[in-house]
Amino acid sequence: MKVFRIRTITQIIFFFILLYGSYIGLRFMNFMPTWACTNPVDYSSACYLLPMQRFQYGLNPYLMYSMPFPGYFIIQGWMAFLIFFLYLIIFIIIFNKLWCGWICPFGTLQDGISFIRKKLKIRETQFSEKTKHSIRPIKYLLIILNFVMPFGFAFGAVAATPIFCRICPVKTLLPPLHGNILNLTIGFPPGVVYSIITCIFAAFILIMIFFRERFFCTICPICAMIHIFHKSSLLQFKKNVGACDSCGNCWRVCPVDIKEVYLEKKKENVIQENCNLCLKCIEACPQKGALSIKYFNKTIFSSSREYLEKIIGRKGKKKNATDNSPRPG
Amino acid sequence: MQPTIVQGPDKKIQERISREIQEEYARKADSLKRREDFRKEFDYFLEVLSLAANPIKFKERFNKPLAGLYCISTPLELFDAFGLHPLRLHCGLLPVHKLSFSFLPSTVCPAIKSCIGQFYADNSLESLCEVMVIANSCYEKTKSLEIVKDRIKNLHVMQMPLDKESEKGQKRWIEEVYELKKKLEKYTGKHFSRKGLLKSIDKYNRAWELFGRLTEMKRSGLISEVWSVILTNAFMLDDVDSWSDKVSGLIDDDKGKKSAQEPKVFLVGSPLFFPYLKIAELIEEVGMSVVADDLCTSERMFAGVVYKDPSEYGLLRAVAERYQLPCQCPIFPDNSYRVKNILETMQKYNIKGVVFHLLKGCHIFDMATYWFERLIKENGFHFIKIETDYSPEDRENIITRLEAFKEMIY
Ligand code: SF4
Ligand code: SF4
Ligand code: SF4
Repeated sequence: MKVFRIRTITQIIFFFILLYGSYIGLRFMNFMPTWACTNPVDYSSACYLLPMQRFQYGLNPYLMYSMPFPGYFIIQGWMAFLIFFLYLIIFIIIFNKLWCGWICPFGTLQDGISFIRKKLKIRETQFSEKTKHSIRPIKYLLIILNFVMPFGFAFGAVAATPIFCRICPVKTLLPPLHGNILNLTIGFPPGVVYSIITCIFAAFILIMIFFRERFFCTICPICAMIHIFHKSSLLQFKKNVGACDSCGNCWRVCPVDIKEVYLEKKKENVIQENCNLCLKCIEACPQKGALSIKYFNKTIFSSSREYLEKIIGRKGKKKNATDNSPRPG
Repeated sequence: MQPTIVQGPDKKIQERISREIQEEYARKADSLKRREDFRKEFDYFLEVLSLAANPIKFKERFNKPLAGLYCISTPLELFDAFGLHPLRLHCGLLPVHKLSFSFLPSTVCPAIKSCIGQFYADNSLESLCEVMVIANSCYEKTKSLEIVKDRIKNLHVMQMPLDKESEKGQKRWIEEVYELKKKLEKYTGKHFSRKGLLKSIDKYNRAWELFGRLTEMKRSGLISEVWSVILTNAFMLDDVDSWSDKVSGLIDDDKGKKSAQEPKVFLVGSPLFFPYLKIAELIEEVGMSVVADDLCTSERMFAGVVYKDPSEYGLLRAVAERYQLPCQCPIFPDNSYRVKNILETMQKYNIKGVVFHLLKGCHIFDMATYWFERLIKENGFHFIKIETDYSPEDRENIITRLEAFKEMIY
């Protein structure tokens, strides 16, 4: 079976498990670094960013006054933060960014939207290098927002909701699939101003995703966080530069427009900060062993002409083209 | 009307040369058929190649308006999508040289000499082309068309950016492909169809896949470089579907495993155009085998088109990049992938040395030899440069040099 089929099936299964799994008693809660918003209470999994932001509670003066013993909330907040941070590290060690390409329900939703655009034969928007460059800091800015801003807010009056959640577009876009349209209305918690900002932000993201595959991933703070620790993972994405013939296929099929893999002429490790390990580039690479995925340094999937031929070459059989023919894109 | 720059040769010379061309094709086909490794399936490809000497027959056979293309960077799929029959104009004929002697500098490369000579040959394929497109990879070749421009119906030049890895260079090439699309719409009076292009992409992808099989056969000695070049040269003239059908027949027949004759060499450098196969034949004659090459008329000609965006832009971009990004033409100032690739293949298939074939007068390829030789030798392989032309005079000399090379690597 082709990798892109296995991936699509995996994505669909996880999409349902993570969104609706609680109906059959599956509750992963915050263990997974995904955009599965906790707003609909019955989610089986939740967004990683939520607990990461929780440590601010420990610093909140209002909560501090009501603690059972001095330092209780500080300890509780920081413990929660450290535990979830540990989960994140463990997941990165085991899976690296496979989360993004294979599991994250918001990633799957984005792929679904792109699937519709492709069916409608609408052109994907291209970003210039300059635009890509200027988008780059956004995700780090969002991380900073998550970790630094809570300190500022903690000693102020606003502390009810973690800071990123106030403007998170996922909070608006995923819950409706769960039957919860509350966040589509003006005035949902934590108030009118934030709900208007969130709705506008979400609408903008939705439009961008339609015209640019996986647009949100290029600004996603979770993706950036995983990237910071990606080198410690057992799963690695490698390039054998000697085998590459610079065809550029890996760049063209990449949902997040990563050009560096094609351009790399020296380094072996080619995982880039926006990469979601969808493996489409490996599927599209015609050069044997030029790109590969390694686990414990053992190759588990690598590029080959034979594999690509099965997707685009029709195995030497005469057959007419159809728009439905499988493509590594 | 444009004034004629150069008058063609008179009728008598024309007739004589036309006879000589036919004879050269026939002679070559005969000698190839006497080879031990000749298979009856090869007849088809020899026949397609010999059609170049009989343009009227060629036109009747393909029964489509012809688009003559110079340089492998012109996107075949696009011409096919407009219902044109694309043929890669090339020429390895010695007799037509004579037709260009009076108006080309003597130091110009033989490939240009015979291509220009073809324009003055009676009934050449060139004279039947409705459209002629050149990607200006080789500036000398592009310039040479000035001499014959009054004999060309619709000439279109595609500018090849030399900075192919930069955003600017890539954008410019996509613009060139869009420009070509516009021109073809004008010439053919047809509208571009996305579905049509998709069909053409599939046809050429099938050819790419089959060519991959052929390459595997060459690596394991099941087909020689000579036949492999003949097959790819035929591809440059033939209808893609018929070519693929015939090649798939060839491949299905080959079940047994063989190993190529030692010592194995990598053939690099200037292209080989039928019937000029000298270097490939001489390497075989001295008892070495070419199991890989990076000639633009052979292994470098094919690359499958892979796209993710099925919109019109997405397909055109994919086609444009397929002809630009993997192109390893020596005109590019940075060809580091090319050498890395060659070294990787040499290691993998235990190839001992590189034979660098250089057509006299091709300065660009000549300039590439300097650092190429250095890198090959630095990596522990052997290297020889053979500078030659279409004439058979230096045969013995080349054989002696190749024999010495064989001694050294074996
Ligand atoms: S980068 Fe994309 S796939 Fe990964 S967590 Fe963020 S939204 Fe999900
Ligand atoms: S670089 Fe490859 S694995 Fe990473 S996102 Fe792009 S196509 Fe997917
Ligand atoms: S697809 Fe493979 S061969 Fe092509 S540029 Fe990427 S790594 Fe190189």
